[in-house]
Amino acid sequence: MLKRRLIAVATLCILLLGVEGCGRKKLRVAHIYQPLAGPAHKLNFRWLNEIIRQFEKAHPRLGGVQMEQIPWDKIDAKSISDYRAGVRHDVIMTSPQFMPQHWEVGDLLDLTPYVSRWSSQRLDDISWSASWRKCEQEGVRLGIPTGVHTRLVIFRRDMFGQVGLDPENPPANLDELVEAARKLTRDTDGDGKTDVWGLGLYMGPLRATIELYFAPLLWHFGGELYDRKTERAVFASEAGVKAARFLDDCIHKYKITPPWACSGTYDDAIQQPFLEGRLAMAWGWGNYWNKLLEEKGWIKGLVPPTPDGREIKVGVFVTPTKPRAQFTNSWAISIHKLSKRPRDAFSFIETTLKPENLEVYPDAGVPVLKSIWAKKEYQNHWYRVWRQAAEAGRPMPSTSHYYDLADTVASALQEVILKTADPAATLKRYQDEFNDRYARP
Amino acid sequence: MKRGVHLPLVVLFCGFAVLPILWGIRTSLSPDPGAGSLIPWRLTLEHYRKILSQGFFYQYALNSAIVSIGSLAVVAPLSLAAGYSLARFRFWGNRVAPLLLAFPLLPAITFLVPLARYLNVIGLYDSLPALILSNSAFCAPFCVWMMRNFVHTVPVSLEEAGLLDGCSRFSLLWRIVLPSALPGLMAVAVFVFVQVWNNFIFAYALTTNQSLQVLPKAVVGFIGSWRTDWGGLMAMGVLTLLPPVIVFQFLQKWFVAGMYGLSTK
Amino acid sequence: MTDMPARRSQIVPTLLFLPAFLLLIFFWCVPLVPGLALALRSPGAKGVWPSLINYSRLLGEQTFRHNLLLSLVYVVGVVGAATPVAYAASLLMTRNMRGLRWSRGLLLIPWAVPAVVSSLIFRNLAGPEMAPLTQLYRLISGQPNLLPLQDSFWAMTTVIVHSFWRSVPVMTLFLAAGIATIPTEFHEAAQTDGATSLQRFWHITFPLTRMHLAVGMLLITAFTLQDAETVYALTGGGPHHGTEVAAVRLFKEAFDYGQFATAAAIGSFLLAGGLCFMLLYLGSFRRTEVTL
Repeated sequence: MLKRRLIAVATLCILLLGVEGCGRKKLRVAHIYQPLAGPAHKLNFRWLNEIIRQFEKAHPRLGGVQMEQIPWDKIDAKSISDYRAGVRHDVIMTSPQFMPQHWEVGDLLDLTPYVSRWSSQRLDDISWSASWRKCEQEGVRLGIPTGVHTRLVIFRRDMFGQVGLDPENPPANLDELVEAARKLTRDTDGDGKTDVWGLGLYMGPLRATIELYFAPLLWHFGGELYDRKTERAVFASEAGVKAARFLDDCIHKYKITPPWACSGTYDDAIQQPFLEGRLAMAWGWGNYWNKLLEEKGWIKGLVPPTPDGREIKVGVFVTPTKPRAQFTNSWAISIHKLSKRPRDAFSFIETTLKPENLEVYPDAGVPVLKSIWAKKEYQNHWYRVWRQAAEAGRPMPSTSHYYDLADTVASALQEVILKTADPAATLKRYQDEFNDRYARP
Repeated sequence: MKRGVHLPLVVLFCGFAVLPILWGIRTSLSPDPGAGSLIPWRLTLEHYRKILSQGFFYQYALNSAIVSIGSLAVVAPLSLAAGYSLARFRFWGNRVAPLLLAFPLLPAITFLVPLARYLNVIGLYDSLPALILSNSAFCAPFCVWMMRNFVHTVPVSLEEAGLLDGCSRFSLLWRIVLPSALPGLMAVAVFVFVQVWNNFIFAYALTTNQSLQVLPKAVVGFIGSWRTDWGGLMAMGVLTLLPPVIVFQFLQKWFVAGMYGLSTK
Repeated sequence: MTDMPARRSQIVPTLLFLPAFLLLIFFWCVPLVPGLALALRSPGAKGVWPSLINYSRLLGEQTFRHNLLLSLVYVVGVVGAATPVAYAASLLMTRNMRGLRWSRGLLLIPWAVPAVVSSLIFRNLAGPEMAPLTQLYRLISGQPNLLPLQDSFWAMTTVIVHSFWRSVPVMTLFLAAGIATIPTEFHEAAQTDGATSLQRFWHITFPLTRMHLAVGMLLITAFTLQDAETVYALTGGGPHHGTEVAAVRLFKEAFDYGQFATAAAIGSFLLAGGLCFMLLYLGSFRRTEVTL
């Protein structure tokens, strides 16, 4: 009896291992989409399946594709830890944010040999974006961006008209912005409490605060978050103090930003209130929210883009700082260093990068290819402004400890704004703490 | 303690135990979980419908079941055999046994990456057997210890009678020890099933294949980059917690008896 | 006990014990040794072995000392809160009351719920404005705008409450098992001597369940100390490292930052800490005599 059982168990094990063996011949594509987790994930998952279908049809002898799903905020770290564990992937989605770490560890394949075979026209089509530049570290091309996510300032055209501002001439610098915001902050129902705030900002304890609010202002005043050469955080400079003061003033001095902008999530402070009409202008509006505007009828024929798209109730303008720069990022696609089939992996990437596929990629944001931008559907004011924002966009600093840096600065700002601490001293304290943590001997 | 005090206290304790789950259920049934009052006026099954209408959910549930039952199939016989040997014999194993209590102290996260590398070398990485074996190893120390304690409480007389009749040790184990150790084994079964079904960390570190996901990993996938769908998340969470809770409720009599080391007869 | 000669009597138990032993060796010890050995290797591609640099760096870091402190607070908080409640619950459970069976099942539910799910439930309980825990904390602290998860103290409190909720069932079970082994004659004798419930508890129940208490506390401590999953899902390390217990720091170093040497060093700290607790519990609970 026992012998029979042992044989059964052994056979089962062999079968399972055998199944695994067959699975290994497939091309492994690692992505972030969990089809159960809501419509956004589902749409992207469907898009990826379509890419796979095209790839398998065009290359029937390559054995098919095996999908691997890794949570979005862990995929880069998993690529690294899997590399160290000797576990291979073939194609993997990556974040340009992590490129410095990927370069240091060496877990991604250099795509230069493949990309150098592209025509100069094709290279020109894609190399304009900030993410393209970020995906190259020390001459090694670690990934190719698949879209552009950028931000700018959105405003209510009707509210502009109500207070005598011209919607065709939005603020062009910070002073004009503050002035316009002052006019737009109103108490509409006479109960003594402000109902509409002039300028929506977010200053919560999350990374969005640094990426979308502190950094653009820091850049405006001539500062940087991090110095790559000395490998030290430098956000507590004079520029940083000025940036922190400006944010603080918006709430406490000019009173154009609501105090509840300092907690909750970025969605809670910007997207929801703007859609509910509690904000007249919202700084840091992301292109990933444009669909909501289309659903509300505030824009028409712009998402998805059509030749007759127009703005109805809202308008956009580029962040009115000197460099006009907002945090601009994207997802990228890479090949894992341990892949045994880099050529096939790159074929898969080529399928993904076909303009007709990139155009309908839900997670792309705004297009990453100039040729798509040149189409009729994008020749309107709305998309011209978004293009300007994308072109002027900047990535976050190149440090392996980026998450920690962002959390540190966010906490520093929370202290400055919520506990009205002195910006200079507080920023310096957090900066020193961060630098001490990672100081190289 | 007076009798009258008992019932309210019992109700209080039970309420305390169940309340957070009720909140989870409440969130999963409300159309807009973030806003609104404590008890939502409108209830909706939309979150559940969205999840249950997708094939992936059933695949993940099946994976969870395979891993849990597989681990059970590994741990139950192993812990019975090892526990019996520790309880009835004096050999080198007795000296090693106290270490069993030290195993839970070893932080699992520390060796997840070496474990992944190691599994990859033997060709088991990113597979259900990898999860089954890792989870079994994780549950084994406690189960062996539990079975050892349990076998201690079973009278030796039955076995001695069997030996006098000329049974070999192995058939003794099969025919006499097993039936009287059944409550202990049920306790092990419940423990392993619940622990393994709920396990997230091994699945996270050792599997990436889309079709090998287990339910707890899918739950975490709901936390999005820009916003979290709390209603969907809670619905997924409720669906994930139902099997272990139900198994536990049905078998809790055995489980408790196994823990007590008593027979339920 | 057996009639077999001394030499052969080793074979049967060895064969029975071996499968479990091998499973543990191959899936636990074998990966663990290189895992911990990494702690003695300096980080980076060109690491040197052996080197104590990871330890010196960690101990010199204020954040890590804070991580260790938070771990201690976490363990003490959970065990300290769970023990009395578990005693009360186990005393209730061991009474012979009809209809108690349903309650026993309910009482033990927290342990059966997946850790990630209950963490996320608690995150939601202390998250939005109208959530019960948020309201409760606001009432207690007198801060009407408090957002618990953005405040280190309240976030840590929520973490402890959650683990306490999860731990009470396990502890209750152990204690109930211990209480059930106390012969009723002891209590009856004490009652006829005129002892109060409290005296009976302190002089009979508590001493005789010492070993069970020790093992229960040890298990809870072990799980709590290593517990990265629940804390990470609940607060992600909290408002700026405010709830970053050592286990969460380990998790982040290994899985978010890719710093495996540092992670291994932290792992060894946790192991050492766990062993200290084990010695503490088993040492102080060794004495089980009771005077009647």
